[in-house]
Amino acid sequence: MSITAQNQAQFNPIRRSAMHHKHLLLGALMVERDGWQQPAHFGSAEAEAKHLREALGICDISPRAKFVIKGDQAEQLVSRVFPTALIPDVGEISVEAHAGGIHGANAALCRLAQDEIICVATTGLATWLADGLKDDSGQCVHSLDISSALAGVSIAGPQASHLLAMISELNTSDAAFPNLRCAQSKFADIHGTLLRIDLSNLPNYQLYFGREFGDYMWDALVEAAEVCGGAPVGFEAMDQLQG
Amino acid sequence: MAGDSHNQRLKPQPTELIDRNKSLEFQFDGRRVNAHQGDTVASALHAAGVAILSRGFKYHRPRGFLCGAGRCPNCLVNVDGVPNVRACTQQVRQAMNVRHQNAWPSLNLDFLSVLDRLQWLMPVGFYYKAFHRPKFLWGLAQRVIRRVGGLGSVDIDADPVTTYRHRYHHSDVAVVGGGPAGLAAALGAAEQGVGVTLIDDQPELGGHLLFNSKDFSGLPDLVDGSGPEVASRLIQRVIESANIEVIAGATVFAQYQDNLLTILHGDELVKVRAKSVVLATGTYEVPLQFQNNDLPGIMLTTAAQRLIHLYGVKPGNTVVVATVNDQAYQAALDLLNAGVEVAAVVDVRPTYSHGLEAATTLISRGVPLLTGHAITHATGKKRVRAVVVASVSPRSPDSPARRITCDLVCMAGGFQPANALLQHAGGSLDYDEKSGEGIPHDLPNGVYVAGEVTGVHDLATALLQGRLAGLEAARLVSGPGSNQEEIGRVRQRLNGLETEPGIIPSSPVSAPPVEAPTESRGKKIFVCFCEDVTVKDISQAIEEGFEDIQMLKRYSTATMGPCQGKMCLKALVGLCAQQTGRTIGDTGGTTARPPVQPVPLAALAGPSHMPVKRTPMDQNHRDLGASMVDLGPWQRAHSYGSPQEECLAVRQRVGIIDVTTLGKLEVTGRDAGALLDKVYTHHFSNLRVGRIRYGLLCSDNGTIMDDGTVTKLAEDRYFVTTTTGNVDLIEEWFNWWQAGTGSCAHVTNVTSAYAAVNVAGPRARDTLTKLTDVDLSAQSFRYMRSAQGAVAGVPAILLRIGFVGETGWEIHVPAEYGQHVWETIMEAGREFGIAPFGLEAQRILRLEKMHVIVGQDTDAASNPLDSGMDWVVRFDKEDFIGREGLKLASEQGPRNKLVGFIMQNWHVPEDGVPVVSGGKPIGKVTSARFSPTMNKGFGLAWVPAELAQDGTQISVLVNGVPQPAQVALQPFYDPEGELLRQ
Repeated sequence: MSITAQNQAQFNPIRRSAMHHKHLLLGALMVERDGWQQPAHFGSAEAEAKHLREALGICDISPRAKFVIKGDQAEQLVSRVFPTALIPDVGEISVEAHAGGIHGANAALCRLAQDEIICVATTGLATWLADGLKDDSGQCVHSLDISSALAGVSIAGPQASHLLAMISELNTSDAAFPNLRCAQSKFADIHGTLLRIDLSNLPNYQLYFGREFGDYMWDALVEAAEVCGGAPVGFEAMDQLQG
Repeated sequence: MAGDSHNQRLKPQPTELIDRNKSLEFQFDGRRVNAHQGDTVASALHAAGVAILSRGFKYHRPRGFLCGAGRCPNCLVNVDGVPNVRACTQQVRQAMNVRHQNAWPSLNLDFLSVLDRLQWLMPVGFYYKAFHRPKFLWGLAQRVIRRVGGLGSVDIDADPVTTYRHRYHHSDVAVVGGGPAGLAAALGAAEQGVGVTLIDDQPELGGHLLFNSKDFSGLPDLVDGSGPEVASRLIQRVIESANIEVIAGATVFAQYQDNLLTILHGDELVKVRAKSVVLATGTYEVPLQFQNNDLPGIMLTTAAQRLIHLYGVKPGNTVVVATVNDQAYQAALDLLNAGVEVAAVVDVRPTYSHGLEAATTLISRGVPLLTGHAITHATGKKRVRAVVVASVSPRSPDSPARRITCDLVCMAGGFQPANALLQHAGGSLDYDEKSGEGIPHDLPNGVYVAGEVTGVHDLATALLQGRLAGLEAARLVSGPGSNQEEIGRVRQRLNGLETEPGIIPSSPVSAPPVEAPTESRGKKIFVCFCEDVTVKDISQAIEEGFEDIQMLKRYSTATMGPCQGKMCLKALVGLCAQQTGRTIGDTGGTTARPPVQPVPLAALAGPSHMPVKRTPMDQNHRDLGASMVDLGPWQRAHSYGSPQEECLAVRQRVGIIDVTTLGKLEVTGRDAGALLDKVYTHHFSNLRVGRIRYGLLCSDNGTIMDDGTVTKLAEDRYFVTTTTGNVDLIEEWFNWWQAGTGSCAHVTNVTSAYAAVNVAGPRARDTLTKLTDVDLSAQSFRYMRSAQGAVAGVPAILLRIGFVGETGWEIHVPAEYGQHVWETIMEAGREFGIAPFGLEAQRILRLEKMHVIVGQDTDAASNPLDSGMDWVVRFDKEDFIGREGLKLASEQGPRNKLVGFIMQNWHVPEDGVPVVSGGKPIGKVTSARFSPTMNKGFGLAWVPAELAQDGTQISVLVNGVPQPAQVALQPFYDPEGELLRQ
């Protein structure tokens, strides 16, 4: 029987983050969301929301869409896709709400270098971004979907910078790394990109790193979170924060 | 010891750190000892009348409380299984188990103390000279020496008692030292609005002020009251400051470039990065040199003061205080007030400072002050019983030596500035001849010093220095214009301080060590307590020619023990200067290197996790019972039970292997092809879309760097694979050769973006046809072609290539689908007998095809011409990296060649064994295995070019015996590659 594009759907492909197995071991309730298996909670979304507000929570945000735009014309290409966005300076972030005309969908534009911008967005924007960031102008600009390449963890709560101080030399204090900043550094001895996008005035750091280190980094973060009085949280607790 | 009659506890002292309402009990060598909360092990033992805390490193002489501040080696004990814990700083915990070290069978009766009578057998450097003839003797002697020497032992079978965390901390200003100068510096900086981190190695701030009962009244705006009163006011201000964070009980053990301080704080290693650093690290009081100066009951004056004021313990019953400075007179007064009989104060100087109040008080209370005198020797066996005191210069019948009975000697041998961190930071020292102290000068940018570490010993100066250092450190952070006026004012006052009315003049500083009395010839006059090095040892070493201080240190080992010179550097330098006729300045000092204080290796290692890479299918392999191995940073499946069976599955049915770890790069842009042409030996810009070509990368000299495949996915998009371990190197290589050219080519590492599997075998097509809409027929999807389509419902890149020599496809899918695709292929292949195969099976299969693994079968000298890959090198290209080197190699011809071989008997050689001729190695086996297909051992080997002919007989060493083999130049399996193309 030949397989056609139409009946590929019968295979019901499931997307899993690099930390999927770790969530199962911690007793997470895994549900499908945006085509991914994601942890809704690890026992109690209410308790996890409390952790977030009072201490610290770490949440797997690997499903987020991530694109890198490189080249001298990177800024121009991004402006075409986000015509009303303020293109940030190096080390800064600007956030576009309701990106792609979708209510509740947001995209963060993070300038890592003069000629390199990464766009981190709500999972559902991946296709829209892939189409929008195609460039046929012949200019030297290059965009690539790196959503699969990077795992991500959100580290949120009042103790978030204390956790980061245990795994990185990067100064993440409010004075040195305020809201809407980005940087690349070593975290638990591996290269990572850190974005700070606060939620409801709570410090929130998004850490992205090579997917192949998912197991390792999750273990390092859970260990550090415990020292800071924190715990893994699911998307239900994070959604409560975002209101 | 519990409730014993040796209780030396005093009535409550106003500044004591102990809480007498909280009693604790611990064990010392099996005996119960009472303590109070806040006691250290040493203070509790001293209160219980225990004099001997350890035995010396070499001679096993009894040793007791000496410094009381965690600097000397005398109180090293084992606490709850942890060796080499300093009893004088280890706080007592309920039910602690404390045991002695380095003595057998007990501290009181150590059989190895017989070595003290054999000092003549073990002069300085004896292990370089003795026990070497006959030669075999050293092997025996070394074992004995190692057994009897050393401090502490580690139980390697025990679980680690402490796991250490690491933490980073950033601060505008870091102040090291919580004594008066450090407190003043912290306050001075904090007032300017900068963030300050104040670090001190004691549990309480205040430094020596905590146990200094001297009245410092003089300048009310600077100093007023006793030491503890001054400290209390400063500490209160520090606590109230919102800009000062205190880390107490923490040792800064190193300072590195750009003001990185490393701190051991309990079970945490803290790395502090500061914009500026103030070093107010103070000084160490040092011992005096006289015969038997190491007996229990002989301690530093500050140690006695700590016992009295901080722990409420009487140091002894009758004391002789021996000194080279004024500070000891206050200590003598403290001892007298604590009920200790002061038999005499023995001062090596001709006189003490005029108007010294403590001296006046001592005289009025009948204490003999013997100026111009020194202790020549102490007597006693397990504790000091008496000292002999003599006039120092000149001896006369009117001043005969006299014996003074005592059970306590307090030594004030002067001060050694704690300047190791300053040296780490790159600062330099000038040596003051009078005091023998190293005075800082030429400070690196961003580093400031204050207090006793600069050689000053009066409080007012230390406080002003501290304030000035704090202000200047803050100015570096805030900018040049800030607090300039205040800095000027403080500097002016500091310069004119000595002329102010009410100021206490600086006391005469310490004198160099006393010359050894000729009768003893320096025997048993200890310079280095850690390594049991005597004055005699130093003299002998200098006589033998070790006059340079650095060589003297290394030869004698003085300053190389746990104290790292804190107790002995001053004496060593002084003796070296005296005996070589040089000044202290010309003699110089030794080099201070990290760590300043011993640090457990576990603390440096930190949390025990290593970065490990795992593929998306990692859990699938474990669930299938795979044995996992490390391949560089990756975890990979080595086999699923039987590599031989896995090989047969691939050859006869279908196999699947996880190849996610392959390096993958996307090279895009209009000049991507040109870039690939430059870095590879083959053409790539002329590759048609959908085609694949094998690629070899060479370095400038033509040697092989890496290999892989290049697939053209679109006109300006190439998908490049590399070996697992080299992707980062190759990405860098590509970027290096592209940078600055102005060309439009972008290189992105997408290794982790894709999960990848290789499905290979006669039934591979049947298996995959069930899962994809791509036409996999031999006519439509030929060998070395690619396609993009859905596999198991997932967008995929399919490459028809074959490392293992069977019909097969390498399938790359977005990593998050990896598990799904693996499971779906396994399910689809079940009816065809699909089996997973691991690394080991893959190695056997590729070897049967003579496919080279770069780094395994090649080394840093291998080029493609020697390795049988000359077909990959295109000299007709305009240029490429390595072209000239390869041209030269081509002209010269190979000396050795990489060939296949097959064993002529049942032996299977190991990787790396030599190819031999006439008993001599002439080549090397790079890879060898047993082939289930051929039922023989076989592999690849480097042989001399003249032997690289089909059928040539060679010998391969197997278990030390040459075994026959035959050279093969064609692949062992499917030499024409027909199966690959089916």
